[in-house]
Amino acid sequence: MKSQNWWLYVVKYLLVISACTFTLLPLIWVIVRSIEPDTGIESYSLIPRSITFENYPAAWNYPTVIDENVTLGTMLFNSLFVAGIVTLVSIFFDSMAGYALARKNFVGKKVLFWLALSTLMIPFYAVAIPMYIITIRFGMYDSLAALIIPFTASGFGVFMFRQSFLSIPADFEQAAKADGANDFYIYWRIMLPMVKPTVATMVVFKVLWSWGQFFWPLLVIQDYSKMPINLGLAMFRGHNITRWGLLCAGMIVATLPILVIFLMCQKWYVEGLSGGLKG
Amino acid sequence: MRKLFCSMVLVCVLSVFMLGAEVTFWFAGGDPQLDLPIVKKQIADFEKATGIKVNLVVIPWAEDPHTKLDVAIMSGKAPDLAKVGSPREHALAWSKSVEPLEKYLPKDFLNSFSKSVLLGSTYKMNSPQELSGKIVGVPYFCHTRVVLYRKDILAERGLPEPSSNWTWNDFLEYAKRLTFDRNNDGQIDVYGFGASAQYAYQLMIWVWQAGGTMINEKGAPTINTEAFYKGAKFFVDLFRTFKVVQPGAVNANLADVRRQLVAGQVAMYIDTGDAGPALRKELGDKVGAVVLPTNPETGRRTSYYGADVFVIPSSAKHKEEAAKLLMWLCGKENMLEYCNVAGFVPSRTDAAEEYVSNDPIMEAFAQQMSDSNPWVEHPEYSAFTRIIKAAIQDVLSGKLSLEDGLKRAQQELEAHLKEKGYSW
Amino acid sequence: MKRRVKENLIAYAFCAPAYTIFTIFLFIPIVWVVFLSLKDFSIVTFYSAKFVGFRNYLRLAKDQIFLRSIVNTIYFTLLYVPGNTILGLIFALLLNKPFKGRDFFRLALFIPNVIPMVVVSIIWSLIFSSSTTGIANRILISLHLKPIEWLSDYRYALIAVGIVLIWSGFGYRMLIFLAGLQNIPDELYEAAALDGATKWQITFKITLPLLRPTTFFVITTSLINSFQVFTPIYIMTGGGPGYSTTTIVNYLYTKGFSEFQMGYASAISVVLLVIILALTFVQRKIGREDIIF
Repeated sequence: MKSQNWWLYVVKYLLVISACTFTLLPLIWVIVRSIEPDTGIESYSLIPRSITFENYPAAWNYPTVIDENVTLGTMLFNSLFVAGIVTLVSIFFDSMAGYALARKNFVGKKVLFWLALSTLMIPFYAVAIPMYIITIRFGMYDSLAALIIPFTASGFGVFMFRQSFLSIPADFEQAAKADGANDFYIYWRIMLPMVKPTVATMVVFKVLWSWGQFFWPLLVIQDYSKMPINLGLAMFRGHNITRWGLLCAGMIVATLPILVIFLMCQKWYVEGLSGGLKG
Repeated sequence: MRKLFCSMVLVCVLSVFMLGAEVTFWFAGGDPQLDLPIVKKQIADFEKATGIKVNLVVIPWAEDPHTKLDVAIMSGKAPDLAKVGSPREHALAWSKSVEPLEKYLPKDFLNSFSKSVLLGSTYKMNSPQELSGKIVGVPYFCHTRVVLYRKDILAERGLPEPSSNWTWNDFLEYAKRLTFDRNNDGQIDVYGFGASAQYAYQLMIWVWQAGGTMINEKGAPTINTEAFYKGAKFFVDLFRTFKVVQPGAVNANLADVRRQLVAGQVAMYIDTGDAGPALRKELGDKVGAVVLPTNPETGRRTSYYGADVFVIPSSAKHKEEAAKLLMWLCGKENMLEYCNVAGFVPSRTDAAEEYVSNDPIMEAFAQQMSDSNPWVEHPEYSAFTRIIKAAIQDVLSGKLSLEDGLKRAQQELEAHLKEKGYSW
Repeated sequence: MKRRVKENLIAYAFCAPAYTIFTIFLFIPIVWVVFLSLKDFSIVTFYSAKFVGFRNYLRLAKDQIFLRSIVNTIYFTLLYVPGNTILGLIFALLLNKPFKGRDFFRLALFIPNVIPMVVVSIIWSLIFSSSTTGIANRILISLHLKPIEWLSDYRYALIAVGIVLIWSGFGYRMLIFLAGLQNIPDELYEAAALDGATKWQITFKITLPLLRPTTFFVITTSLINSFQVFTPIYIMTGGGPGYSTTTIVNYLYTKGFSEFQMGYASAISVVLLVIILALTFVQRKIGREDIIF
């Protein structure tokens, strides 16, 4: 019995460690490139030929030639700003809609729920052009608003919040109602705090999603001072030559903030998803 | 209070006026550590000399500047001047989105450009009629393709460096001799020719040399002609008959081939100008360059050249000023200064003559320009690329015979062009 | 009666902000796309588009490459959905109970999800380099296997893309499964253990059946994602060799953005949307007890 357990343990560690090697190996390659001198021709090796930290300041200051006032820091700030507002507002909007779909009885509820789900199914490239036209008609061309406003609600968020509100017992609501509290108060002060884990989950999802945007900012942003970091990284890829050292350094700089956010939310993250999946 | 109001009005009026005199210039590509500082400096000089303000917008190639320009034109946000990659100007002309440039540029300025290069940016379709036969883009610089090779591997195999009049047979001989098993373990360690069929031009150079084309004067696709077949056969034979091409060449990325040259796994490959300095950094003196081998039957050693061209969108608000900026950047001195840094060949004849870099690699590129073709000058150029590429890749994978592949490409292209309203 | 009206109004008020955004930026565009699919235009000729009726759809029905792209997408889905689901499930089960280093392992498996797809694709095109120095081939050689022309062999190219997307996506699925596992009460496990059930029996008889809603959710979202795959193919293979990795969205992009046939691309979008809706519907029918949707 004991020896069997021991074997299972070994197999478990072996599996997990090989999976981690699979996921981490390419990232080690990235880190190695970022501390190796950049020649314009990348190397396959996992061991650096020589070590330099020049790539980091070089990548940081790369955009200044195009616009003196812009560094990777500016773009990092833009990304953080956009991700922050998108996350805040969309969690608010999504949870409100999710609350109504979970807790209220009204005409067209089912239709609205399916409409929210159907937004998940729309391929972005399919609607990019009409969406672009609408966005610029609102006068949002070349402004951070164009990166924020269209994404302040998501079907996925509405869905997740609906599921987690469904799993909360009705007693809480009823007690508040008996006290004469209005609907917004119930939603805001009683219900929302109860789904904090879902909120944490959505923070991670939204930040990740907003951070990964590429094609949309490419269409609507022109000014370097308004560019998100993901678009900024494209500078290091030329027609023929890719500046790998700089790209990898830039990438690490761009990834660190999200890693921090993920680590901060990790504890709640798993818990939050389980709320959403109770159904 | 009144004073404040007045000054505010003044500021408003002034800023409107300033905006009116500002030229927006979209620059596709460019490297902040290489050529962009030069462009910025030249623009600053232009602003000082003319009093016209310039708003320079740099769009890296990875950000798809062509789509960005399309979208901007559609929504009335077109810049006044844009640098794009040829043959995009033909597609823009097809939709009447760019101006014919004879209107804005003096004759003697246009005459200073190489005839053939300027012809590459002359619109050849019948519709829209007002642009037919007009110059729709002014080439800034060209980047052609030559053979880059490892001197040390050639020496290892006892081969002299190829001379500029080498032929297809010589090339084949080199490729065969350079494909070898270094340590006798039964595995080929070095391949003679590093190809990348992901790029249709890697095929087209051989086709052009054999006298083939993608399209005839009437506008009909000519993929199934005898000459096309001959050129394509040489390329395909390198893969399938002589096996001198590295594994993975069917869909390799050029960057990958470049790395393999550095790693010493391929001995020769075909690439463009900015690869030269990068390879030099890695390999020092070990890298050499030579013009493409000559087809013994036709006597041609045609290569492919790409060009970056300036266009003035028809919805631009400051066309005259844009033309001034264009002429400024394409002045002899400025163009020369730019090309020297960027490593490309100037499109002006007078600048190209002075473009004597004592770098042997760059010299090969300059020499190759005398026999180089642009990509098909057709608004549907990207369909040509896609269809030819897919067919040749299927041939190289052994899924189709060369005859069938070319036949399929011809049919697909004919159908595509007819669908878009072209006839011949 | 009045109360019902009020209740309705309050609910609508709660839904209003989110659905206003959906309407303006998604529903109007998608209806617009349906209209655009009846026209012939490129991006620049948007405002002078010609009405051509159902011609785009008729052409689409005869378009061999489009058919090919559907087949490719389905093939890709068969790799992507099971790959992500099974790996996600296995590692969720392994990393569920606390043990030394668990949090690190969870993070390590999730990290790839954080990296932008564009960058993921360029890193992996290097790993899949066909030369013997590419990392993937070096591993094969060290295992005494024949190196593979990953991105150039029409038999492997789509598999290579699948591997990349499993690399970047299975950690995310693992987290979803972990969340699902939290919902299974401990008492169930304890009761089973008391009955003398082995670990395998517990896993197969209790855990997996109870995870069905989660599995259903993971499969549905993965299915939708896999039908929308674009970036890694665009960067790694360019749809080649031949048309062997051209998927629906890649073909849509080629037609709309580089070959100036936005009307035709819109028709592709509509067909794609119908396919995804149909798949979700079928899935819902199959898994109807699992009330996730």
